[in-house]
Amino acid sequence: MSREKERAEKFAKILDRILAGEKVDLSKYPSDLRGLAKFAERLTASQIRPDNSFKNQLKKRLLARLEKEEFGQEQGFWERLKRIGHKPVWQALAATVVLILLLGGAVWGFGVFKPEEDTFQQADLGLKKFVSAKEFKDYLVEASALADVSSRANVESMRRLAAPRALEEQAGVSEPEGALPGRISETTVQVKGVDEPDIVKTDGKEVYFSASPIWKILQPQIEESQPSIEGRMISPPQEVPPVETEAKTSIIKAFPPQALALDSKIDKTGDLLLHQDMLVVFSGQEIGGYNVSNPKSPEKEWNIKLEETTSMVASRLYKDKIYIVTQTSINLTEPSPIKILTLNDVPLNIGYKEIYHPTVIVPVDSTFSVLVVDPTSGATEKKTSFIGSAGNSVVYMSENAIYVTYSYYKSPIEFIPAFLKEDARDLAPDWLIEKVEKLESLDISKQAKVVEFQNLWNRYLNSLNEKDRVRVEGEFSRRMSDYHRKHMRDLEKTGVVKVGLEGILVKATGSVPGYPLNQFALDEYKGYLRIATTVGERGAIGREMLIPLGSDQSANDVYVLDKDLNIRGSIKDLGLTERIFSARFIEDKGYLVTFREIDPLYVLNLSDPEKPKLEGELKIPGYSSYLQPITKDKILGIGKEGSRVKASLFDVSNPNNPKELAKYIFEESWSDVLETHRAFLLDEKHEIFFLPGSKAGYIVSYKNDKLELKKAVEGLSVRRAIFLDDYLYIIGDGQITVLDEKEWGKINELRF
Amino acid sequence: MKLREEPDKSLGKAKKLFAELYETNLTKVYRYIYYRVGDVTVAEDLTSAVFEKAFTKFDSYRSDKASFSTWLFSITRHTVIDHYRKARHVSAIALNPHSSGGSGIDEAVKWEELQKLLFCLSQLSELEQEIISLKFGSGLPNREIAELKQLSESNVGTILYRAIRKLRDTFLEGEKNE
Repeated sequence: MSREKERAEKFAKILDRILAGEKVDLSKYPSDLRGLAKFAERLTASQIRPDNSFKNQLKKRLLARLEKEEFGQEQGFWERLKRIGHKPVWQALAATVVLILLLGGAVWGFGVFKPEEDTFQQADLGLKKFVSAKEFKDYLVEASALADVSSRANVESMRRLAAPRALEEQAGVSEPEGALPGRISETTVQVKGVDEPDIVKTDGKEVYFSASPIWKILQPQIEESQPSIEGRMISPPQEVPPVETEAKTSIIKAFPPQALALDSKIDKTGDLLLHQDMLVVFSGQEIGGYNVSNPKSPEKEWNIKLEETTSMVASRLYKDKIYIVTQTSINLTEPSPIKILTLNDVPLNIGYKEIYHPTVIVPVDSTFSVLVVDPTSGATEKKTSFIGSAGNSVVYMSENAIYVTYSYYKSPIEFIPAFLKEDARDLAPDWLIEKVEKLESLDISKQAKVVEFQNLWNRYLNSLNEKDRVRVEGEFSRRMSDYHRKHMRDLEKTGVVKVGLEGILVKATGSVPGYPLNQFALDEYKGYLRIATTVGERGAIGREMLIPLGSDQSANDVYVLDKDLNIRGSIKDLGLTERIFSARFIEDKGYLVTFREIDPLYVLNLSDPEKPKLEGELKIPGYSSYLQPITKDKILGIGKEGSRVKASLFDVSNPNNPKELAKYIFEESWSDVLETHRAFLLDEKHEIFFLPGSKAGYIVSYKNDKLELKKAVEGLSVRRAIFLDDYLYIIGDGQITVLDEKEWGKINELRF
Repeated sequence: MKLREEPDKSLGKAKKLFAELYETNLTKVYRYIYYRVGDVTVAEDLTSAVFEKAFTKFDSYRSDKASFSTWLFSITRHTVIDHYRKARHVSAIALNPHSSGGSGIDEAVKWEELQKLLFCLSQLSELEQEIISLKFGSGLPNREIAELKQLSESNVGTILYRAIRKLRDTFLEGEKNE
């Protein structure tokens, strides 16, 4: 992703929050974004509102005309209005949760899943390295032409809002040293033992906390803002006192809690990984390794700088090694060698001979690299690279392999000519079809063709009178929707590359229709990979399509791939018209939450793969964007209901009858858990979970199948919690509060 | 007509829905139009036209095809386009603070700020103007703007980002020269 695009994306998020009247803490952003955001705030402060008398008069007039039935409705205006009234036009959002139970053996009975039903062609599984620089270049020229409309970064950012969750690992670590706690919490991760970066880490003695660029939402302070004039103006947001003017990583002595004290600060901020004495800080384009054996004076041992064209996709810590996945845009003029990063100013490049590519040409605009880095020296010990398309990559790491996905879809221009000729012959005049045919044969980029088609189409529409224009537009859109629905599994795909941890070699590639939501949509079990994808969501193709598509296009599939990434089984069309909000695979079961507007909860029993069937249905409002297994039969969902954060406890012991045992609605519109599972904490011993909100940190008990708020810790913005022994540390920007987990009383507090 | 057969209670519910529909969308539509035409009187006229059209065409609205606001905004956009077609001789944004002082923002400072903004807005390209209007005028999410403008969402993001940068630069430049 280009720097500008990245900035634009970040800015879009800030802007939406500003426009929603939220008070955004700008101190964490680079100065250019801050400046723009301040300007945006200023603009919103001078928003105009329609005059009240105009508003009321127009309303009266419309109502009067409606009552006299002057608008000539065939069906009766009120009648129609009532029919759509219960739909979410007015934000009456509710949810669908689909729990798919891939019960015993269901996943593994491939024979009966009839893979031949898969209509899409699997992108080739053959895999080669390039043999010459010319071959590499030629491949890229062809492949980049395929890739030019396929960036999906925006979709991904949306998806990030809906991250599911992970198994908590908290085996008691019994260290011989008396000073160490018996229980030390770890970051909530997907795969036990595979650590994931986060803004808080602890080794039992110290807490490392980085005031990271994760977005913090402060409540709009309406009561404190200047009085508005007849509600016409939103007053400019107040400055919130910045907790830390410079973002830093704090090292805090944490155990025993009475000894709570700030040891030192590191001048960088970002996600952290901790391995023995080495603290690794992922700070934008830089990765720094700090020796923290003396917490009062951390020493920087190494520094990695990513090249400007390289960005971090993901990192993990597993068995003494750090795994880093990067993505580097391809330089078409000088594709090789690919410059990835420098370590202590020494460059690390990758030559064409080291790059894998599929034997057929798929859309490509990026090189992905998997690096194995020694935490002590920062040195790259092993690496491998392969090509793919940027924008929407999900990385999932099991104990055996790293899976990297990239999504791509067909440009509308590749199927519009066929569509026009087959399905819309009567809607388009001959000259338009002729022009489109000519366009097809031109040697210009697909994007340019799309733009040109758009111009032609608009020219045609503008030549029509309003009545015809509306008719043609509507009809075109309707038929395009049908066409899209028919072909959606061919139009949007995700490539999957499997890199074995042993030797860091590309083991296999494959592809599935649709795109995965996030890392939890992938899971390896007994050598098989399961992927849950959403197919045909209008966001993907509809947006590139010139005519808005209907919103009822999407479906959700689950694919099971063997060790060579061949599809062996699938379940299709789950949650039609919806998209996946969270996924979680636990051994031979799978849970899927889909959501759009209406709210049936389906439970599918797939224990007989030949006859998967709907076993139960439950309607619940809201959705879960994050699923936490509590016990074998119980799952906790964190999500939203209406505009508020919600926790639901599901009983899935009987697939015929999944139940919502309890729910708790927080007085919160946001929790970081909605964005990252790493913000969540489960303490099984005390049967509580923690989630940070924008007003407070919440500790909720799930004992006896009830959800009960134990404690809300207000104060400076709360980000995370950890436990050491039976103490819960609530960590916020500039403040740690320690609670006793038995009585929930405050033991100690530190401002830093 | 069916209307007559409906019990009053049910009609009352429909009316409530109508009121909600009207309240949620009126300001958004009005602001967008105002940003596009820069004149309160014209904005009021066009806003009325949009709602009248919307209810006349309500039969053709398919809730399963698009959200109501997307549908409404495509009517709004066409209404503004038609307005300019009919009045080609009128410059894109008719700045006329005097004709509208009373009915818009009361406070003089804010009013001036808004006028400055409109002037700076008129310096941007047509596409940029429209996207800014949809964003700041109506607060639409980029996804919906993308749908209306038939662009990709990331395109909208980038255009918006660039446009606001330009807008800020001209805006602050103007302030410096004051």
